[in-house]
Amino acid sequence: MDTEALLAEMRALRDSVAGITDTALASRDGLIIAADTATIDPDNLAALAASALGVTQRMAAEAGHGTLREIVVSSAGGHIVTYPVGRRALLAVVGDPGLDLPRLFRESRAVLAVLDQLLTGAGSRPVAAE
Amino acid sequence: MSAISESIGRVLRTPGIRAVALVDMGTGMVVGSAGDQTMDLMAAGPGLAEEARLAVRSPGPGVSVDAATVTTMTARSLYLTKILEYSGGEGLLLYADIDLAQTNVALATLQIDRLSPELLAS
Amino acid sequence: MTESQEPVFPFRATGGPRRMTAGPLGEMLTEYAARGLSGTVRVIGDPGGLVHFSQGGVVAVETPGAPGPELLLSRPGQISGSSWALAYAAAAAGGQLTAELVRRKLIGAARLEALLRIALADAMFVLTAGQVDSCEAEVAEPVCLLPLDPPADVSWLLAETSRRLAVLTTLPSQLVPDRDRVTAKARPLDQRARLDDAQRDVLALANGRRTARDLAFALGRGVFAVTGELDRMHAAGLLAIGPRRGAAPVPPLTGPLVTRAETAAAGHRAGTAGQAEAVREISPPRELPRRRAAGRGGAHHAEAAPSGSALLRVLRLGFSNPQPSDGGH
Repeated sequence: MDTEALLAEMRALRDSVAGITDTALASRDGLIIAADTATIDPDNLAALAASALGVTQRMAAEAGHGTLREIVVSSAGGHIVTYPVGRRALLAVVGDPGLDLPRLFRESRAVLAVLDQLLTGAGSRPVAAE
Repeated sequence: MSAISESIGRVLRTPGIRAVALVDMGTGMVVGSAGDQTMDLMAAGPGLAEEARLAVRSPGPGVSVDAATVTTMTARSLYLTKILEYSGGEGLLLYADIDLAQTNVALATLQIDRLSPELLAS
Repeated sequence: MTESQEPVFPFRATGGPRRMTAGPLGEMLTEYAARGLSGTVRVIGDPGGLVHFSQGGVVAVETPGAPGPELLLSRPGQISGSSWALAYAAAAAGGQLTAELVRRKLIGAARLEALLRIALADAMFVLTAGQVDSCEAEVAEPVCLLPLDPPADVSWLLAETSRRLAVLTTLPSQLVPDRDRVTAKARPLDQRARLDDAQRDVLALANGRRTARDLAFALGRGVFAVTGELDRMHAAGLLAIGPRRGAAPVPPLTGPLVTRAETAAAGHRAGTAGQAEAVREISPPRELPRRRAAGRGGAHHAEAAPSGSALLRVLRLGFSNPQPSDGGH
């Protein structure tokens, strides 16, 4: 697994949306895969995010709402947005109160797709002609 | 109408105080003013904030500086800057333009010191 | 209308992604002021935001780029969370929160007005110092939590904003408030004692990940004020500037999905900006979300104006989309 490639995507997301303070990519069982964090404990964040994702997915199913897209936790001091990544991972994005949520939703689409690709490594990779 | 104008306007009742302005110390922006406003307050604001900042930001941990007064005098006028509050880089100062033909330094300073605590509280 | 005494916003060509002038926004506000209208101007851009005006004066400015009055009021030593919550519950729905805060003696009326005016000016500065793609106006009674009363005079606000933009262009550090991150420099022990509280607060948070905007949010201060603080601290040798946000350009995807790491590597190999031939495929080409360039280079799709709520008319001033960022400098 190319951790550097994963981190490059996560850093690029932090670059592109003002207000993101930390991001963490984790497995659905709550284990950290890659973390771009400052003072937040990535292991704790991963475990909690996975747990939250599990519960909220069941809530969405209970309401007959289909596939969960994202969880948004908004507090006085900021936001935490958690996205499923493929079927086996998740991305937690932590931001300050000024995090532009609509902008984040727009910018994260492509990043989530790339992260999924990197994690699942779908398809063989033909070597480029040079 | 404007709570700021009403509040600092009270200072104008003191004889000799011609004009007053409330200035944001973090940016030098004039937040409000009252009285005879021939002086270019908007341009003066940043300079006042800078001076006050230098006066109040004494180095060292835990040093609490009480509201400082910075004064400029000419033969006929007194320009008084009184810091009303300051904390962590943000603060508000009162700037007063005083006519020394109608009052003197001691009286003007005293009056402003008396009125200052109430200005932001009401 | 009036003759053109409108202040000219300097075009910030320095450092980083290009910015639009705030001229059209200023024009729109000036016109609304002249007509004594009430409504909201939606500024689409980065950070973009909302300018609320009532009977020709500005009552509030909201933007993700600057901490709003609620955040400034929740700074330590201001209004406690619980007091705020009680006042909010009692009065917010009825639009009387400012009066309620004063009535409960949580803050003096003059001080609250000062804070609202300061927050409004800061938000306006951030809006106009940022990227303005387009402005749309909706004429209706604006809804905001803490409206400034009396409203800010538009010509005063534009003049103050113009002043700040001019200051920005002359900063010795040329710090870009929402792009340049800052890092505290290691100080010898004896010199640490000479810092004041504001500097200490900044240094504690300057970890190389935060810009002036980020620090403003973290400290509960205005972005313009923090920018000035950082500039002075940089001059005093307390801070290093960098790295810059949004510096790495990413070409828009038109073909196979590629990662940034591979694009960069390919570009390095091919000596170009990662053109198609040198790029490795991850998977067979298929329909995928079109990736937008990082930072300001990407196009921002205008949000649909709310329908059915404009009482008189909706104005739209459009601008051509800015070119993709050329790499940050």
